[in-house]
Amino acid sequence: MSINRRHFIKGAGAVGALAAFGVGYSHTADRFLKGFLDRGRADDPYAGNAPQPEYRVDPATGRVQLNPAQQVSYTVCMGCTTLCGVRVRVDKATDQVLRVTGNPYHTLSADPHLPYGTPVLESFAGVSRHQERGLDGRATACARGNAVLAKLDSPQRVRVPLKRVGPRGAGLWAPISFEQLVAEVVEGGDLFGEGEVEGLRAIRDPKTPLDPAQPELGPKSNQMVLLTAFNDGRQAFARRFAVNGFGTINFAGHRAYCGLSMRSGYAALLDDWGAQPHLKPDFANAEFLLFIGTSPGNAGNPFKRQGHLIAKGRSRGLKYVVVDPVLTNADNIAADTNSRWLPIRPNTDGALAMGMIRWILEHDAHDSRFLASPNPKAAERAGEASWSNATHLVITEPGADFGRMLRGSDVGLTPKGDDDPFVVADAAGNLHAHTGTDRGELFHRGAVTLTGGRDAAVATSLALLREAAFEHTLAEYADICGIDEVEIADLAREFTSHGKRAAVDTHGGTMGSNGFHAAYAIVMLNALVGNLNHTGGTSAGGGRFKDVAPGPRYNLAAFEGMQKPSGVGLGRNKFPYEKTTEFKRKQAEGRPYPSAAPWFPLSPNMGSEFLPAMLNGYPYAAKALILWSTNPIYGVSGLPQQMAEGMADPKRLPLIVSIDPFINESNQYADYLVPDSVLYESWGWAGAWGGHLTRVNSARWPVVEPRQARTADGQVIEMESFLIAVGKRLGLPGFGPGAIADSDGNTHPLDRAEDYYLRAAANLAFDGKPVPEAEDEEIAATGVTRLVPELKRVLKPEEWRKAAYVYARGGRFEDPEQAYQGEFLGRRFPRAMQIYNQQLALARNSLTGERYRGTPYWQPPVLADGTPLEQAYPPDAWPLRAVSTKSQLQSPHTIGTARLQQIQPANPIGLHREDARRLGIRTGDRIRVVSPGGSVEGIALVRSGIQRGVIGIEHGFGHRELGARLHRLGDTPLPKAVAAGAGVNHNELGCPEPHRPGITFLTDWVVGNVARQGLPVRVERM
Amino acid sequence: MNPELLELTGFAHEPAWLPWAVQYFFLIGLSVGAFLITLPTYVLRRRSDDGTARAALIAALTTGLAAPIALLADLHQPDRFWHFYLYGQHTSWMAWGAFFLPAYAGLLTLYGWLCLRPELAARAGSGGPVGRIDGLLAGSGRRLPGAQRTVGWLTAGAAALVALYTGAEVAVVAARPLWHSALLPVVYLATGVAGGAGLALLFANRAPAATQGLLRWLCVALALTGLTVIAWVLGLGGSGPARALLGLAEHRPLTFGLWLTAGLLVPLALAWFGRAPVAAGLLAIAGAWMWRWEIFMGGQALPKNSAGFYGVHLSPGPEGLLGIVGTLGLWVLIALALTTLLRPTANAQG
Repeated sequence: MSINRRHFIKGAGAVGALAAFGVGYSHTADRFLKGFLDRGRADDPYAGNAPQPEYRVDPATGRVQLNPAQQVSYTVCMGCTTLCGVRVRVDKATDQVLRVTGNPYHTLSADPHLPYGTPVLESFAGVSRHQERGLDGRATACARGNAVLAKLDSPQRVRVPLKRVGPRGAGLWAPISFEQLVAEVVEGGDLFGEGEVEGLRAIRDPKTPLDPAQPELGPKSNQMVLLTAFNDGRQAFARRFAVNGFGTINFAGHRAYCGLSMRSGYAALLDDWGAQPHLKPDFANAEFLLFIGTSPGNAGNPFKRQGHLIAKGRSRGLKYVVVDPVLTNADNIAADTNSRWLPIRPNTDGALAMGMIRWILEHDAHDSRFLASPNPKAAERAGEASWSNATHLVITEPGADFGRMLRGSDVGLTPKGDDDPFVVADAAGNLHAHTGTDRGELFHRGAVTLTGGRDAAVATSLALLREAAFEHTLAEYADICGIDEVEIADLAREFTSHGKRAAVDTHGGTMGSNGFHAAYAIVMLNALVGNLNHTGGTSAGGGRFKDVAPGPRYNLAAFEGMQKPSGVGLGRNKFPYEKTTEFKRKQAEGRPYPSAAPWFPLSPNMGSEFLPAMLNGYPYAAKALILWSTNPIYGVSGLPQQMAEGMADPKRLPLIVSIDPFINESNQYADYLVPDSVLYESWGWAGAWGGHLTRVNSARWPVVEPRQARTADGQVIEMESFLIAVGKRLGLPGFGPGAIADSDGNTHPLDRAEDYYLRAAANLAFDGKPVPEAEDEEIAATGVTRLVPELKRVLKPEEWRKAAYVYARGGRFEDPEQAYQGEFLGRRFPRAMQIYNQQLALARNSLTGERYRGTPYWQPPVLADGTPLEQAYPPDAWPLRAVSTKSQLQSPHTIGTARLQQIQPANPIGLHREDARRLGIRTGDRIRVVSPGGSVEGIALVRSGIQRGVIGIEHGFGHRELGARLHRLGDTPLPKAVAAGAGVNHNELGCPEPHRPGITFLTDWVVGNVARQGLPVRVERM
Repeated sequence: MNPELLELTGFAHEPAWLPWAVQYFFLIGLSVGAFLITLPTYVLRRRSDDGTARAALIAALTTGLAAPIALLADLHQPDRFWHFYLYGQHTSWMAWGAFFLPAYAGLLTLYGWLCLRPELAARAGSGGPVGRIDGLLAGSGRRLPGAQRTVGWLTAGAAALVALYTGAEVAVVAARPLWHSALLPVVYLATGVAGGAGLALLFANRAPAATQGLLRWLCVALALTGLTVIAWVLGLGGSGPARALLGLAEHRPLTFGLWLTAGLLVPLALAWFGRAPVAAGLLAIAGAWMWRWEIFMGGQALPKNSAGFYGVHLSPGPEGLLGIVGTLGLWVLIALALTTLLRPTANAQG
C-alpha cells in the first residue's frame, strides 16, 4: 500500500470518525452547555421548577411558614363514595387545585387521626418530615382522588343552563338564562313546540289524590320524582325540597342498584328496615376476617381506610379470606397464607354461609353465652357487648299466628313497662318474659297454650335457624357453591376460633336475585360469634354530630308547613300489596295474586324501580323527573338497553330536568340541564359511610371559585340555588323568608346555600361541648378567609368563629381514644341481633302470596315469582354466569379523566382459561357476551384468577356518554373526551323478567335489589 | 416469569442506565484487560514477545482514553460531574470511581508514554509534521526502566481499583437480582481481558509471535468467563442472580444465545486451535460488548415488582444507536492518532 493511499484512507477515516463522534455526542454537548448556560432556570434549590411548597417547617423550631401564594384547605374528596377528608392545595393566582392529600384530622385519611384540638399550624407541621418522623402522622389521598380534580376544568363540563332544541336525546342544546329556566320549569307551557307541558306548579298538589280510584297511591305531588345517587353531604337539601317542601314520596338514591342486598341482610339482622344500618369489621383489632362478595381495599366503602388497615393488619398477623368469583388485588402474595382467595360460584354465597352455620351449630362452636342472653341487661351482666333474640320463642303452629314472635300477653306473662315482652323458655321448659330472666334455652321447642285456650307449637329463633341450616348436608352446600366440604368446615372452624375478634363482611357481590337471603345468611355468622360492639368484632359506625338536624342552634330538619308525604312510592316499597285497591279488586275476583308487578314491603325507596315504573305506568305514571347527580340508565343492570324509547317520548314522561355538571347516559334525555358544582366547589355536610368508630362530620365548602355561570343576583348556579329559586317561585314551605328557625324561636330566611350550610356548621360547633373559637391565624392559614363575610352575615356574633373553627379543620371529629372502652367499642349499637326476623316472616311475596321465611336458609337464584333462574334461563342455552367487580380506579362518573385512563384505559372481559380453551378464545381476542337481555363486545382476558364458568367485568367503563358522544350547545360542540367510550358496561347484560310486560329487569325476589351478579350469559367469538 | 399473574395496574419503567453505560463499561473493561497483558513485558521484565505487549498497550491506551468520555455522556446532567469532587460520598462505589478512573487514565497515559518513548524517538527521525510531533513527545527518547516499572505498578493498582469499582457499583444493587452477584466483577474482568486481547490482536498486524501470545491470553480469559458463568448458573454467587440469569436467557433467548455462541464458544474454539486470529479477536470484542449489553440493558428489563418484562430497546437516537456510533467514532479517532504517531517505524521494527 502506498504512503499516499494510506494517508488518504486514514484521513477519510478520521473525518468519518470525527463526524460520528460529533453527531453521537451532540446531545451530550447540548445538555452540557444547557447545564452551564441555563443556570438561572430553577425557581428553587430544592423544589426546582415544581410548584413552590405550600409551607415550610423550620427544622429547629418546628414553626410553620406559610406560602402566601397558596392556600391549604381541609375539605372532602368526591372521587368515589368514600368521601375522605382531604387537604387541598390551591394556587391563589390561578385558582387551580395543585394537589390533594389527606386531612390528618380525618379518620378516613389518617391512622390514628389528630386530636381535634390540635392547632391547624401544628397539623401542617405534623404531615411534614419535620424531626424525621417518616410516615408517622401522614394523611393520604388516593390516585383517584388526585385525578378527579380534573373535573373542575373539564372541557365536557356544562357551565350554563341548557334547554334541548331537538328531540330528546339528540344532543342539541341551547343555552338559556337561569331566570328563563326557573320560569319554564315552574310554569310549564308549550315549551318545545310539541304541545303543553305541565310545570311543577301544576303538578304540585299535596292533597288531591293522583288517582281517585286508588287513593292509597297518594296525592298528585307524588308525580314529581327526584332521583339522586348517594348522600354526598348535600342530599338533605334536595330532600328538603322534594319531600318536605314539594311533598312527593318519590325521592331515592342509588342503594337499590348498589348494595341493597347487603343493607337488607343487615336490616333483617339489626331489626331496622327503615334506616338499614350495617356493620363493618373493626379492621384494626380483628384476628380473622372473612370477606364474602367484597374485597377489602378494592371494594367496600371506605376504600382507602380499609386498604390501609388491611395492609397494616397483614403485617401484624391478621388472617383473612376473600370469597369471590373473581380474584382482585385483595389477596396478597407477600402476606403468604395470611391472605387467601377462595373462588365461589356466583349467587351461591348463601350456600357457603349456611354450610358454615350448619358446621358451627353442629359442633357447638357458636358463642352460647352471647346467644343465651335474652335482653341487653343480661348480656351486660354476662360480659357481652350486644345481645340477640336467639332464645326468643316463635309461633310455628300453622294458622293465623304462624311466624310471629310469642309475646308475654299470649301466655299471661305480665308485661313490664309499656312493652309486651318476648318470651323465652328455661331448661325446665318454664316460660319467662325476655326481660325477666338472664338466660334462655337456645334450642327449645315445645307447645304453649295461648290466651284463649289454643295450643301452639313454638320454637326458639336459634332452633329455627338450625332447622334451616340442616336442610342440606355440608356436602350438598359444597356441591352448590363449588367450595370443598373440608374447606367450608375449615373456614367455620377458623372463624369460630378467635372469640369475638373475627368478623364477616359482605357487599355488592351478593347483588343477585337471591341477594337478600345470601346477605342475611352471611351476616348471621357475626351473630353466631356475638362480635357486635366488640373490639376486633363489628361496628355499626361511629355516628356523627348534629348538623343538618334539629340542632342546638338552628332547626334545619323541620320547618313550618313541612310536608309529610303519603302514598305509595313508585318502587312499590314499604307498603304491603294487601292494602292496595288492586288487591281488593283482584280478591273480589277470587284471585288476589299475582300483583301486576312485585311489591317490596320491606324495602326503602328504590331508585332502580322509579324509571321503569313511571314509564310502565304502574303503579302510576309520573309527570316530572328531576335527575340530580345520578345515572341509573348506566348503573341499573338491564336499563341501558330498555330505556331509550320511553325516555325519548315526552308523552310518557312530560318533563325531565337534570342538575349535573356533565351529560351522562340518563340526563342526555333531559329537557333542561342545570349546571352543578363539582367536588371542591360545593357546600355540604358529609359523613363517613362505615368502618369508622368515632363521630365524623366532614365539611364540604367551596375552596376554589365555582366554574359555572351565576344567577342575576350573583349566586352560583348549582343544585341549591336552582331548588331555592324553584321553591320560592312555587311558594314552597321551607324556602325563602322565615324558613329556618333558631333555638330562640326567631326565624331566618333561606335564600342562598350559605343560609343553610353555615347554620348547619353552627349546629355542629355547638353540639355537645361547643368547639373553641377560631383565631385569625387559623382562618387565614386554611383559606376560611373566603367564607368570613358570609359567616358574619349568616351567623350570630357568638357563632361565626366557632363555625370557622370547624371549617378550618374540614369538619368536626371525635378524638381517636373515643373508639374503644376496654374490650368494647365506644359507640355501641343497642338493638338485638335478629336470629329470626318477624317482619320478614310476616311479609308476603305479591306475585305468589307466599310468606317469606324469618331466618336465613339456602335460597337459590329465582325470578320475582320464585321461578328458579335456571328454569327460566336453562344452562344449556346460557352456560356461563356474568359478574361485575368494583374498579380500583374508576367510579361510574370518572371516565374521561385522563390520568385514570393513562393507568388503565379500558376493561377487558375476564374468563377462566379452561372455559377459554373450550371456546377457542385467547387473551386479546374480540368476543361477544350475550345475555337474554342484551350483549356486549370487548376484549377477552384469559386468566386463572376467576371461577370456572364465570365472566368477570370491571365496573365503570363502556360509557355511551360522559364525553363518548358529541353534544352541541348552539353552534359550539361540547368536545368528546379521549377514549371515554372504551371498554364494556356489564349492565348492558341485564336480564328482563320474562313473565311480565314492559320494562323489567331481574331483581331479588324479597327486597327488589337489582340483580347484576350471576347473570346467565353465553360467549361468542367474533 | 409467571404468565398466570395478572397486572391490574402497571407502570412502564424507563431504563435508568442508558446504552452509554454499556459503552463505558465496555471500553474501560477492554482497557484494563489489555493493560494487564502488558505487565509481564513492561513491568515484570519477563522476556516475552515485545509485540504482544505493544499491541495490548495500544489497545489499552485507545480504549482507556475514550472510556471517560462515554461515562460523561451517560450522566443525565453531564455538567454536574464535578459534584463528585465537591461532595464526597464515601459509601458510594460510584463516588470512589470518580477518583479511581482519572487516576487510572492519567497513570495509563504516563505509562504508555514511558513504554513508547523509544519508539516515538525513533519515529521522530523520519521527519515530516508527524515526526516533529513525535520528537516533541519523545523528548530525549531514552528508556527509563525504573520509572516505567514504578508507574506500571501504580497503574496496575489503579487498574485493579477500576476493575473493582466498575464491578462492585453494579453488583451492590440489591434491587436487581441479576446484578447482585459477587461473580459479576469477575466476569467483567474476564470478558475485559478477552476483549482487550481481541482488540490487541487487531493491532498486532498478524505478527506470529504476538498473535500466538495474545491467543493464549484470549483462550485463558474466555475459559475463565465460561467457568464463572457456569458457577453463576449453579448458584455459587447466590440463588437470586442464578435465577435472574436463567430468566434473562429465557426472556431474551436470541441475544443471550448469540453471546454464548458467537461471543464465547466460537472465539474460545478459534483461540484454542489457533485459527483465524482476527476473527477470534473481533468475536471476543463483540462478546465483551454483548455481555455488558445483556447484563445492563437486559437486567433493567427484568421486572422488580411487575408481572411482565419492561420494554428495553435500542433507540436510534443519541441515547441509543447514535451514541454507540459516536463512541466508536471517538475511539477510531484516538486509534488513528496514536497509530499515525507510531505506525511506520513500528512496521519497520515488527
